[in-house]
Amino acid sequence: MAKNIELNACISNPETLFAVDLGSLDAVYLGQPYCLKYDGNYLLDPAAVTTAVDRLHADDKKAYLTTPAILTDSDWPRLETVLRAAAAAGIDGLEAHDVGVFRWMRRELPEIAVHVGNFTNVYNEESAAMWERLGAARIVPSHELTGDELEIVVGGCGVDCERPVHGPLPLGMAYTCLLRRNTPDSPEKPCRQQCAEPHYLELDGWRMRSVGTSLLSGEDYCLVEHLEDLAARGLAAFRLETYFDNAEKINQLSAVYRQALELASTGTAVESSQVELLRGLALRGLCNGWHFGRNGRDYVGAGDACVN
Amino acid sequence: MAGITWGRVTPVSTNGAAKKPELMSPAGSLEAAETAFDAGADVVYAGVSGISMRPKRVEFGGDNIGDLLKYAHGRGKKVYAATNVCPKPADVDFFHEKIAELHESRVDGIILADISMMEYVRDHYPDMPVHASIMTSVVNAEAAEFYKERGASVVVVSRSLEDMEEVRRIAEATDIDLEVFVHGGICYMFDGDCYMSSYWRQKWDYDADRKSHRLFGQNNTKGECQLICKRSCSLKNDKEEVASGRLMRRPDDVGLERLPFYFEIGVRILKIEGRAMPLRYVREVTQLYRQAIDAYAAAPERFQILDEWRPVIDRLIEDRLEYERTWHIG
Repeated sequence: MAKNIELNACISNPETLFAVDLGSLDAVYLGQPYCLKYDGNYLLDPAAVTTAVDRLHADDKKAYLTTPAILTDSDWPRLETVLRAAAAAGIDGLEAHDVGVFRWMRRELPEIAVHVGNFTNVYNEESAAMWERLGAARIVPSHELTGDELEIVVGGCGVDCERPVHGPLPLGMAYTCLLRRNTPDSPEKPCRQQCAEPHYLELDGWRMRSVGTSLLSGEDYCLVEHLEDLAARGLAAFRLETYFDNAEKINQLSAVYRQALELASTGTAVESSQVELLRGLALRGLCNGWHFGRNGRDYVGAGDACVN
Repeated sequence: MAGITWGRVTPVSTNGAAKKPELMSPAGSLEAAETAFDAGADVVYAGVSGISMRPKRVEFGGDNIGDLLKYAHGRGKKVYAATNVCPKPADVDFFHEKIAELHESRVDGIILADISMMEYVRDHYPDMPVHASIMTSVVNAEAAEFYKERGASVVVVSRSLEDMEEVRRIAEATDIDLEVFVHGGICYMFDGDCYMSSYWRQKWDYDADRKSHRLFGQNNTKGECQLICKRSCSLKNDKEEVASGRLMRRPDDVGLERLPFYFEIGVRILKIEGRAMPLRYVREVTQLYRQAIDAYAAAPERFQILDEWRPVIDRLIEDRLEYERTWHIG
């Protein structure tokens, strides 16, 4: 059952891709949707995208390209160049977070599969069915949905649905870079890539991770203890949200999840040591509360204990 | 003072051809609607109970929306119904029922964020105008066209677009009517792309309207925003605190200086934020923008930000800070 589910990861730049062991992964999302200024972001480098697609295909992996969550008309020309290069290189799918980007992709590159990303806010089965009618090849329903709600949405359409299963999930797209506004790295100067180092916003004892133009969950979202249940809900792909992780961490995460997927396919629970390994890799612990209708920052383990 | 330049504002169009935009004010109650109309609003927007982006206490439930429509139409004014949450699966049928009721009530327009609900209205109630909500965060012309194809006749341009040339590009590239926010509180996140509140806290509660026990995501889809971005916080890296304070809070939007630009590019609706604000706020902010719009329309070349408006703006900004203090913020 879970054996055929795609496991993919998100890789922002060539430096990370060429250091990653792809062995545990089926596919990779190239590019980083939160900020075009991110160091080496594939979304500004058509030649790098072409090289990455070639490399992934050589390893028999699928190559997808994500796109910015927020894309203004002035940034269109740069993105268009990259999208056309990706299509020419044989990309296996393009991910749209912005409905305008989706519209452009379907009109200009109709031969390429288009994935509908989480920022399109797919919250119900009718939205999922609508995206199917519009030609989406894959849908990422909102990460705020519970497992039961997710199952209804997945059942409401005939296209593949994907769920992030690990990593810090987005809490929103900010209108400006928080790190540049509040540090000597002023907006007028070249970006110093402060988001490469972990920064947290703390409020009354809880926290969010700031990557400048976006806030992410403070804890790493983690569904490793629930993969069998998740697979039974009809999902086609599981995503590791690893945009800000280095190759070593991506290797560890993908290995744990590959093993957990194989165990899930036989109805076997993941070992607690693996959960602890993930907890150790997370900078500020684990969360998955949304999936269970709880606060997003809560964590629910296999024994249904809320730990946070 | 939110970037206001006092005095003369260079007119961008003096040919007098630009059509005067509608002034839309918030109505969190029938009394607020009366106040807004008295102060010069052409239209009010009102939340429909359980499916708008504000708390229930400022939404219209049951027959109230019908009363509001009767009152507004009697004065030759309009009402747009805010139904701009994204329904979860259990809410879809309820949402359809509410849409049918609004159509029956002859609402002047319905403000929607969920794409499938837009198509539902387009296909079932084609005579009911659809506005793509601020929650759709339109930041490019392709997106505006996308919502037009889903049945929208108006799109609200994202209020997080700070470069007005981006707004101009959208206006020039599409023929759909545009709506913009001109005054009020403004989020740290792009509207519709914020999940902070549900990350912090969600609750199960009894919903009297639905007669069921259900999840109230205090999140971007259910209108129970916890004003996270107005709160004090501390920005830290692994070594030290980098900054602290209300780091996410943005100054109130004061759009008087942008009025000439909006006239020039042909914006159809100028919207004031604040359904949860008190009556005095609704009255003063509506009067302010009524005066400014009329002044510009009458004589663009003489339009200026008047000194007498300054204390009004100061009070409006203080009112919003007081609103946040009622949440024990700041």
